[in-house]
Amino acid sequence: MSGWRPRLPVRDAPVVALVAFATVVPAAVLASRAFASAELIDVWRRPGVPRAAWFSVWQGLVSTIATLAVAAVPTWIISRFDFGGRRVAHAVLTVPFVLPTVVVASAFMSFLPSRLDHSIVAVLLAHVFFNIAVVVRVVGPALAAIDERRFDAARTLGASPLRTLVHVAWPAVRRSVATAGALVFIMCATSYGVVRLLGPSGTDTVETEIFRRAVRLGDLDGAVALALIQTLAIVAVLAIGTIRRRRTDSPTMSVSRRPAGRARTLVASTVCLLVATPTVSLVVASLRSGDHWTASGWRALLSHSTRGIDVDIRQAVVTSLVYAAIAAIVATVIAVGSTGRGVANLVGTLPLAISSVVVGLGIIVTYDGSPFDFRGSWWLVPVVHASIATPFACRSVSARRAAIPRGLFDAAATLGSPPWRRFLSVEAPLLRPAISTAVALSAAISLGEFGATSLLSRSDEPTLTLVVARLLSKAGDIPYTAAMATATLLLMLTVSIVMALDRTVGS
Amino acid sequence: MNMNTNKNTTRTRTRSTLLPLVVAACSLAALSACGDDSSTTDTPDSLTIVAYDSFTPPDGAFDAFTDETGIAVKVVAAGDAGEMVSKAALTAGNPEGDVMWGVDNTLLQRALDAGVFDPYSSPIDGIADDLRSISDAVTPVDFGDVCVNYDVDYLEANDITPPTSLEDLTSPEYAELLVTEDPTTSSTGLAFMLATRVAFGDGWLDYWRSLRDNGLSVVSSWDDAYYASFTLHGGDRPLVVSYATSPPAEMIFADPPYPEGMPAVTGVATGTCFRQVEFAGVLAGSKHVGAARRLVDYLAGETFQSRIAESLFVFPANTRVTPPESFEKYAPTIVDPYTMSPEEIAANRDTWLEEWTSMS
Repeated sequence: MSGWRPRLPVRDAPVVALVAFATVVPAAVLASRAFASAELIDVWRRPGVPRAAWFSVWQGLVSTIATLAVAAVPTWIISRFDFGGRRVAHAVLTVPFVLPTVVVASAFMSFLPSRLDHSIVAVLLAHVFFNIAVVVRVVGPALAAIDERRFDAARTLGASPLRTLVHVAWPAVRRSVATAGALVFIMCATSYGVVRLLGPSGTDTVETEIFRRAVRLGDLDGAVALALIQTLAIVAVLAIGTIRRRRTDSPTMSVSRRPAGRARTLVASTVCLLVATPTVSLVVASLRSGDHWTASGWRALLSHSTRGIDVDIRQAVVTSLVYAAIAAIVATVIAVGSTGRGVANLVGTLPLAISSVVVGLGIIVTYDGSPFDFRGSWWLVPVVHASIATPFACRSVSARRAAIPRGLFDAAATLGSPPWRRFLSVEAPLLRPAISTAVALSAAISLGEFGATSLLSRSDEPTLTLVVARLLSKAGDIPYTAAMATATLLLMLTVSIVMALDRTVGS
Repeated sequence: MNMNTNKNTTRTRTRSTLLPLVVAACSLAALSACGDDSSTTDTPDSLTIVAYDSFTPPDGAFDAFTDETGIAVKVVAAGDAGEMVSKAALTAGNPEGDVMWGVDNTLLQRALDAGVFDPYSSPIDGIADDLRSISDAVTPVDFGDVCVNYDVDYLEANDITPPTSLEDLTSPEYAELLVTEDPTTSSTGLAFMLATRVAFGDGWLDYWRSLRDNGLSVVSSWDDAYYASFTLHGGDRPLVVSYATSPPAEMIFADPPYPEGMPAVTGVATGTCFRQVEFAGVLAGSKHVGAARRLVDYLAGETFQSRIAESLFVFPANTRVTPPESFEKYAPTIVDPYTMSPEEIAANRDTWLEEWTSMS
């Protein structure tokens, strides 16, 4: 395997360093404080634990299957066909992934019938809504990379559409489908905010149970034991989801999209409309008070003159953007630099596998002054964001990299090109679409992230998500509409970033 | 008395009363420094307050302290109150700051047991005795009550008498009307659970069973209950567990504003209240104990106390500070709230939460 490209462990050092710093070491330090092997068995006897584990598994499976089913058609249309508004559609499908959960929850409750509020159905719908983006982003590039001539050939030879799908499309994408499925399963099985806000009271995933034990009940030992069990389970899922399959080289990397035609455009637009509904209801919520339209929430934010609402919204936008930029650059540079195989592949997935509650608490006890005191350092937040985004950045890049014909490298090597030169002039240009994806996803994750880093102390200016939380802690019309307006700003920033990056891909 | 009608007036008043206060605070600080031999003469460049996320004092709230001492004040947002205390317990003795703002009586004992605080009760005048007597390791800074609120218009339109007590809530008249928060995930929900525990003693779970049979809805957080379930904000439940100071907030932030003199649009069931008291304390391991104590004095003092009420919607713990006009107009005085000592809460909370969770 390594004959065509020498192993360059030094390329993998940054990803290992980042994940070790921001995820593994803190979790290990916390575990070293509060771990007893007997707990691995005992914890199952505590009330709520077996139920939480079972709920994580079955709900995760159902959510994953539903997400793949719902996302399949739009992903196919968007990645292989051209139609007016394709970029907008792409952005619309990505946005839910980054919306603050509290915003999605209120949006869902405003349009679901009230008997579905706080139901398992609401949780499943929200999981599908959140994760369509993962499928579009992970499977899309692989689908787009299939040479149209293969389909032409299949058709010419008389293959039915179904046969074409099974024998031409499926082999080219199954690896990325497995990857997407594994990612979606993990996101849903470890779901925190959606389950808290939309699930029936008393419904727990393992992740909410870890939080409940560590923070509310003071049962740190139990929480750490559960987190360890969860990590092992997730690593197993990832291993199954990303088992090395036969390489699926595409003869070409050029992407030429055919016009979509009316029917396909209609389907894609319908799905986008459905996905956009909760986000539209968010914008509406920022402009509605009782039964009339109002701009008071926006005015309170922008004019800084409403009594009792002390929010410097410009500062919050700047802070959020700076964090997002740092997180995106760090995660993407690391992902592109890394080989994405072997140790790097495993390490790059660990941030998904390790409970963010444990990481958050771990950072507090790890960097507490011996020898470093980083607690409250402003850069800790974007660095942790980068670590959280690393699995997504790495996977976007490695899926694309796997599709690069290796002959190109052989040719470059034969012509005497040194490894760095091969990287710059062969690999990097071919990776450009994946780089855009990695930047967009990482920036979006950083912008919307609240759960994992809410345990980190922040001493600088608040981010937009913190402003939303602060406004929502006050009673009254104006704080609520101002919170919805802040969430709308977050939404607009995300859409702009994703669309701007897609522009660079499209040309 | 016009402190909340015009921001500029408030500012001017604060400044004009500043000088005597500064003098008083300085001499107090000097006195306490004399009586204490542990590194209290230091004057750091800045002090850090660790606070919950929703701690949003108005701009310039620490200026008086900085002017007086030359010490800047930095605020670190540490998550919600429960997260803040869990983190502080993990790093007790090696804190993230010098002073903690906002540990309440439901969490206090957990923090004390973990050795989070360097005991200090501010000697500053005016702090209500019943609050001060709760603990001598920390200083009370504000209080409020968690009570059932109701949507006045909804109840009137449906010809329902507002409830006044916990017992009322199990009556068929209020079937399917109440939403509360899960005590295992929400501090508001926890306070309401403690009220029922005080009221009904060992029979408290039976009370919850009757609530449930009467169509109680339980959601995970206050903003979920208040903004998604409460009828006033478009939900379908006209009774919600919230705060005694939620009605003034509704009036202040109403959009469009209500006409002058209009009664509050939400009411409070005054017999359902649990008293929450928040404290400030010096974090054990602070390198500037003397300065940190002066900061706690400042937090409990009149200047700061007069500025937080309408930012945090809490009553000042300092009785020399008059609560804002909006509180007097719209927040009922809770005469006899349910209370429980921090020791009793700490000793039983986990058991009660487990019992509540596995209630059948």
